[in-house]
Amino acid sequence: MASEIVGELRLLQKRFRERDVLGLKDLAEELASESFILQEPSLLDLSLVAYACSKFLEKPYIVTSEDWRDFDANLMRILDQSTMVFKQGRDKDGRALVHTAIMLVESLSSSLGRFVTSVIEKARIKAGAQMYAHGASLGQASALTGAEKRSLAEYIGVTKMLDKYSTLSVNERFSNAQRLFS
Amino acid sequence: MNTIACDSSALISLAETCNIDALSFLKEKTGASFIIPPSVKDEIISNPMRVRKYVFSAMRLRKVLNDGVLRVVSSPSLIADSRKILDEANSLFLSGNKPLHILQEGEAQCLALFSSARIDGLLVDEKTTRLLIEKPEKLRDVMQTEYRQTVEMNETVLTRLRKRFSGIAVIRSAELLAVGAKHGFFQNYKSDANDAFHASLFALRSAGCSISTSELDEYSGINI
Repeated sequence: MASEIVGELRLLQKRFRERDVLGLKDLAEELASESFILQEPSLLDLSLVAYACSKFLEKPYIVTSEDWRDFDANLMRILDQSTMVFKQGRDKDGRALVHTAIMLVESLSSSLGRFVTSVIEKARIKAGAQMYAHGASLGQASALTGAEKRSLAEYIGVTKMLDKYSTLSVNERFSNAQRLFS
Repeated sequence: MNTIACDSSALISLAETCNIDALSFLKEKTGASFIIPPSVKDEIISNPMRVRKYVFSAMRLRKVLNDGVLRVVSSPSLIADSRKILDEANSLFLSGNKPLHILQEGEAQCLALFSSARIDGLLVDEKTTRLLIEKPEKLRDVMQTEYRQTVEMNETVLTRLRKRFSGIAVIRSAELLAVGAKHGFFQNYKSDANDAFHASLFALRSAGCSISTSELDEYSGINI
């Protein structure tokens, strides 16, 4: 597991350094589904950071701000340290360090962001939707990502995901329901 | 008088679309009884009360509970039964030999109610719980498309789950609203009643009810 996390840490650093917005969004999706499959919370944290960074990089008012240089430096330092710690086999410390990246993102989002919903909350919803698409129930996707169930349901409701799960015909369902209430 | 266990997904869809009164309406019209396990109460009321954006929605649901339209039901065996269901559901599908943990406590407790209480149906909007009961193979097929590799099913677990879920009638908030509509839930809209009913179905979909676009088209053929 540690070697997988180290690989993903390196990839995240690379795409952030290269300002690869699309690459960061793709990475966020992949990390969310991997986190679900492998039941590894650190991969979720990295997914949230990857998504947040992709959104920050899209906004000139953020990347030209005074706070951005410190954020950039601190994020890379945390990712470097996490990589080193995981390679030393100190998985618990590595997970704790990765988690501090979330707090760094939250801090920038609250100081510079223009929306009430933080970028991490949006990242949780995106990660939850990815897990839902990979088979997780709404409750499980919400529990694993920390996304509020209502927010996740609303997001999923406007995607085409819900077109994939029909079983009975509407007439059969309606007849069953009528019998239930008769 | 039929008893229906309610999952949080359906209750949330109904509350978010201003249709939660359909429960009291149907209770009065048909004598149906709506029950929830303790974990669903936490999901629909206790947890969202901590998030400002959702406090009012949680209060609407708390009112439904306080008015006696919804009842919390528990039993000494509920936790043990829900653990068994969780273990089974979360070992049914495997990707690269890794079991996929698809279900969570709230959904498992709802299903566990069928063992401990006399339940006639399950009201659930989210797709995993519904497909586990109705057609696990369909869930596997969709997952395989997402994973782009084979997702295996543990046949022993599948047999156990089929036996456990045999005979459970599943309805969504859409069907509940359709039955309500036929009983007159939208009559206050007068000449707009039929349109209000169909518009509500679209609203339920936008709130996360697992109803497809083609099913919404099928529903357009059902008028009140």
